[in-house]
Amino acid sequence: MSLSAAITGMGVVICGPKEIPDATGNALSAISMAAQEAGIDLREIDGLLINQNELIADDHLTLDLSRRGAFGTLKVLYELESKGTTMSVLLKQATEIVNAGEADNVVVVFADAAISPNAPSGAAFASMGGDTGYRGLERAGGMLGAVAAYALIAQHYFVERNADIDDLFAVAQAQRSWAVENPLAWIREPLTREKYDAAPLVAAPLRRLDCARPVSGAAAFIVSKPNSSNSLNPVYVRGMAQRHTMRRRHAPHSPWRPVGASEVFTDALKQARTTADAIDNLQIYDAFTIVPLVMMEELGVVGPGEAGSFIAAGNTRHGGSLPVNTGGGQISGFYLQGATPLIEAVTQLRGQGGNRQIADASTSMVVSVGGRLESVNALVMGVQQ
Amino acid sequence: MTIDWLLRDTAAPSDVAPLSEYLAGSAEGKLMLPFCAACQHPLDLDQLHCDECAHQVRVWQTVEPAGRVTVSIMMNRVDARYVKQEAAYPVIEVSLNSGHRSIVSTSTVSDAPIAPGTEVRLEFVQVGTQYIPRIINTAVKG
Repeated sequence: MSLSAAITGMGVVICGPKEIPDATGNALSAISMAAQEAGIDLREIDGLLINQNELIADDHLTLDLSRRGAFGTLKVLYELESKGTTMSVLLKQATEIVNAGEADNVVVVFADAAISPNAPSGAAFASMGGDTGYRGLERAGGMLGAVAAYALIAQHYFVERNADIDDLFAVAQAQRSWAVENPLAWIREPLTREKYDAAPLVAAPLRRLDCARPVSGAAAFIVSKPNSSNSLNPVYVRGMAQRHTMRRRHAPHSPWRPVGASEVFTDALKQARTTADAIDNLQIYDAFTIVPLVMMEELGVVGPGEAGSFIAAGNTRHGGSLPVNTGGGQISGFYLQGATPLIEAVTQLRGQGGNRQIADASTSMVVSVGGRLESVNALVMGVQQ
Repeated sequence: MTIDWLLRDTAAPSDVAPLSEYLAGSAEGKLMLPFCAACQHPLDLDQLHCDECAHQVRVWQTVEPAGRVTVSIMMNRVDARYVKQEAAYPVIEVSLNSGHRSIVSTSTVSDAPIAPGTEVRLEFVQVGTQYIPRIINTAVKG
């Protein structure tokens, strides 16, 4: 049986807070790291798939990345925008491109220039939205930035699931317990309730420690047919499903629930020809602590209103029944949008997790969300094709 | 109309489409919102096709400026580029009686959220050159 395409190289660049961000430079550095892992020369890269990212920064990747790097003749080159799910979609597409023989070594790349010495963490996200359309009208209602939008989702969840801030804290503390062992994580001290309660409120009920940690940096993956040049075990994309139900602002549409999440979960497993029991780690796009709570319930991993107690009981921590966001997630780790959960899944499946490594990790599910829980994507990855 | 207590002129929305009809109505003290011309289903401001019947013509109608609070939050991080106040202020999601949802604050100073289910009425305040709906604090009925 011939081998399927797999992730054979990964590169991650995370800038320090004092560094001047450079999206293209960071992307090219990440690509070089990924190529080295894959055992290929940069000039052997013949496909380049770029995560379009115009969320906040003026400095973002464009197709011109292909000119500024030292790639071979590109047989595939495009940018894609599917909100927070883009990287998962691109990885699936890269796999299909290589399996179809359209290209041999395809790069999937993301870069962000979210912070700089003169723009503190979160400041740029606070004012995103502009003055036109719904976002302009919502800003005139006093709703500034993504935190406020997710604070409203949290309040809906509290009301409909009889939940409260104890559940948000459970997520923050559980993920911090993973971040302690992740050298790439931004915050690595254990989180106590006292420290959590002392964190400033951004948009109640969300505190600063309920929010993702924006960074400037980049992530790149090489997708190719595994061979003896690869320095690490390949990671296979085995199945993917998605639903996109843009948030309507009128009845009878829900103002907060991610429509179709349970179908995404079962469809992705079906594509991967596996079952929920086989998932030994779950990586969720967690821009805010409310997201894992909502998504674990909507996927069907736990029942409605049960996520907080499930997490507080230690089930998502090291040694628990379902490890979740094992690198600390975007909240305690770093926010490279949809790349963050993918990086951790690949790390676990390669056995590179160090003290946070899950024993015999073989199947990961990456759940990405976009917008205000409008797009949902589940990607099943594994060490077997 | 009253000058807004909360936001600076910099927070005023642009009156280009899709907000032009909405803001033209609010300048006259009317809450104007779109509906499907065929089935009267409420539509988003920028929605061109009806999600209920797929009809492609919409009409703007004046609706009762009243509804019910679904949820509300407090904005604790105050962005001085847009906000006059230094203290936290409420942001409230209202399900209007018309079926539309709207994100608003209050028409006079407030330092507390409003409980879900509370019936509210809206009035307009001036932000820059535009007129924006706000909940009438005195009309709040828990």
